[in-house]
Amino acid sequence: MSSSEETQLREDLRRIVQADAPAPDLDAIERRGRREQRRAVAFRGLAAAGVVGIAAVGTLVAFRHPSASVAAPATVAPAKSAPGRQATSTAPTTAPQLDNVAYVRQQVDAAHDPANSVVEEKQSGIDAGNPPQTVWTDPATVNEMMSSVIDGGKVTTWQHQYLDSRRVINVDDTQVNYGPRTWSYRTQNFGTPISGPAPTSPVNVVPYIPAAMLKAMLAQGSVKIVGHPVIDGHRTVELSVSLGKQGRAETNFYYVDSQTFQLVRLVRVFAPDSARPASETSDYTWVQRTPALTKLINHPQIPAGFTQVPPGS
Amino acid sequence: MTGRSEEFRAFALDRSLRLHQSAYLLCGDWHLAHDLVQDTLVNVYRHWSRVRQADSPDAYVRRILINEARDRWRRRDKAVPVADIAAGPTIATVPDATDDIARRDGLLRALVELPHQQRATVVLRYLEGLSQAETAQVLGCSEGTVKSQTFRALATLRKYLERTESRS
Repeated sequence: MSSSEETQLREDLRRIVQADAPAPDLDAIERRGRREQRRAVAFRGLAAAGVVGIAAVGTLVAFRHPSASVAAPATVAPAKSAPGRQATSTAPTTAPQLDNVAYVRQQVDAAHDPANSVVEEKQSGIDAGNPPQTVWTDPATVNEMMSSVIDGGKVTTWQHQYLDSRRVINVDDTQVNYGPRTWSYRTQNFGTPISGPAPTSPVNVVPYIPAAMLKAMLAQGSVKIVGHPVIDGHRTVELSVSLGKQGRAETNFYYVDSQTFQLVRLVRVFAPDSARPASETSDYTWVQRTPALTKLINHPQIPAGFTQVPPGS
Repeated sequence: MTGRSEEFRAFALDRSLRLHQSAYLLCGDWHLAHDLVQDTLVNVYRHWSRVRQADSPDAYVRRILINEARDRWRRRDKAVPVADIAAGPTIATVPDATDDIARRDGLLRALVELPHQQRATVVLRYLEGLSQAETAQVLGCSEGTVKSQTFRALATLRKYLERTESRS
């Protein structure tokens, strides 16, 4: 590998890890360290007592049976171990209450707090026959950047939603089409101001993103816990909720990671309807919000030399 | 707070960011990385007198971290060892700002799938900036092994290091 590639690798790794790490919980670390030290000491004590006991029995046997020529050794040298190889128990002391909706709701709420420095990365179109699409959503702004391949060419769309001074929701669409090297821009508004109290965050304005929907439905109590399947190696909590009526009915199955409580999959199962597939699956990953990624999601990038065309053309 | 505790806390806070960064590249998920760092620091606390007397406390701690990551990797069939990183978007043949993000996404995915020792070698050499000799010391192997592991890892990662601009 050339030194320029090595330089590139160094730079890429530096950028990949560019994020604020959470401060370690030093109190918890010290508590656990002390607990494990006590356990190790107790275990060594038990082991030593066992060895002494065996030795005593051996001695007794040797004493009572002169034919027994060698008594068991009274001590055992402790095994040497490499640093970091000592067993550390990471199992929780109490089992998570994964069947308790109130507990799951609390964890899901915390995991999807827009203040968390994460960005949602969604893979959709997995089973719906549509072109696969990757969507990044910044939970803090609910702005989206979508990337897909249509007719062999990459298309990136930015969808930004915001309230204007009249409290009307506006949606800006910026689309870059890399096949014909064109871009378009369209803005739409919902016409009438939103009612009710002033929203306190973008998530209140646009509450239909899946994690926010799940939070809202958990709050309403309309969600049931139906299982704990393993998805791609992650143990999950499967939650179901029925929506709509008759011909438009659909059941949504949400899968949240049983450790992080972040949404990892959404399966929408539709009532028989010729216009729609039987189901639609989206997979979610939560990636660290880096300055580069948030800039990319929240600020459309038009490559130099691309031509502006009317939207939809 | 005891002197031991104060010393340990200062050490842990000073190394925390670097440990998180290395842990992230070793497992590909910030939550798992945080767990790895916590487990590593618990071990450091338990063996603090040994760590502070070591010739290179940093090398000692890196070795603990890498051993923890390897143990989790080995347990991957039974638990949740490394992140399941979703497939990234298709890389366009025309340069655009999203390409670098997608390329690095692919690089991280490929890195996490490397055999443990190759992955650890890349992290130590190219993130931590250690020499071959220092890497060999941390991994407990020869410099020749570090060289061959580096060569193999880089051969796998090479395609993710080609910048789009250079291809168009």
